[in-house]
Amino acid sequence: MELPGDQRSVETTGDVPTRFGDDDFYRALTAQPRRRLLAYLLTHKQCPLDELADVLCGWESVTNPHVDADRKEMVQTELHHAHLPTLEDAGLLTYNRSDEMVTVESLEQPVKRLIWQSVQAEFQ
Amino acid sequence: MLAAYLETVEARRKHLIVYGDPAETDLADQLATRNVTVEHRRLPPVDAPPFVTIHDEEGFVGALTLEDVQQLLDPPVIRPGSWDGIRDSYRTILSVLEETLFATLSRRQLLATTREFEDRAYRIGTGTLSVTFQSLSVFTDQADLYRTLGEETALDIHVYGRPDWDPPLLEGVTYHPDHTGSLSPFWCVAFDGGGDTTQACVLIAREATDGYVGCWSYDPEFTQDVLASLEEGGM
Repeated sequence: MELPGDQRSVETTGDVPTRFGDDDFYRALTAQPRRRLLAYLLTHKQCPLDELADVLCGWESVTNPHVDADRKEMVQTELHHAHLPTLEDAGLLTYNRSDEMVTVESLEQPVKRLIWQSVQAEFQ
Repeated sequence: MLAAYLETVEARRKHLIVYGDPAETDLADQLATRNVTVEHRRLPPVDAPPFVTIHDEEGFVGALTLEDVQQLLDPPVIRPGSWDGIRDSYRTILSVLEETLFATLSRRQLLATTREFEDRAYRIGTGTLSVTFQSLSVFTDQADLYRTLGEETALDIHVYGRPDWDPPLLEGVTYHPDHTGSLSPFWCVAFDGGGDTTQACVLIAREATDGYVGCWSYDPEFTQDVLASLEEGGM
């Protein structure tokens, strides 16, 4: 049977990252702050929790004109207690709680592209 | 006390982090003479808006898009009549713009600012104007200007300096001999705005090896503090 063109291209694509078949991976990407911080980390490999909170606040300021010190505190708490553990569980980064340093894992190109495109899509 | 004011201002230095392509902004150049340090950090290769985070000695103050910051920097910079409801980040950026701390500033630049403040006092025509000179003999060149200021306005003018010369008696001008020379290293001009606090202005600079280090401000409270400190002789 002749396959439609789009299906054929999927079948002939080279290596597909195994995490594309992992529920944790999709769960990890279901929150905007997590996609944003992953995108930032892919550029910097490693950065402190404080800097990640700055970045999330900065992007938030595009739509929210009231990003202040209290908001940053809240963002940082959410990162520490929720977002970073979720991303760590999915094997996308490591979070060192003692020095609050976050390091992204080495990710395959299709994964990186997906993360970047998800952030780009928000600001289009 | 003037030294302490300079230190206080220096301690209020802000730190801006620009997230985005450094080639897309000359913010660091635009703020070169301000009491602020500017750092750049790269953003991911996506089409997302660049932004600026603002930090003071206590940490994060706020975040603004680079576009907003740029708009605030483009003249005219208008100080809002009231700070109520103005968010912290805007307030901080505006305070950065109002308060200048310069690593080095030439005598000519200081003179220009001094002239601007004297001219402001002349136009308002009332209030207190205090000026320091290294010594009263340096005041010689300014005597005509201050004669005009004293005669044509209701200004209460105070001139401070080492008493190495007998200055002429001028209407509206009171001399304060600085016997100890404690004011000698400083260049200070302060005008209280004559009842209009939006017109208050103060300049304090200290001689350094390659020029002057100092600041000017339009903060009425700061101006009042400096005037009071000069008046009390707490130099």
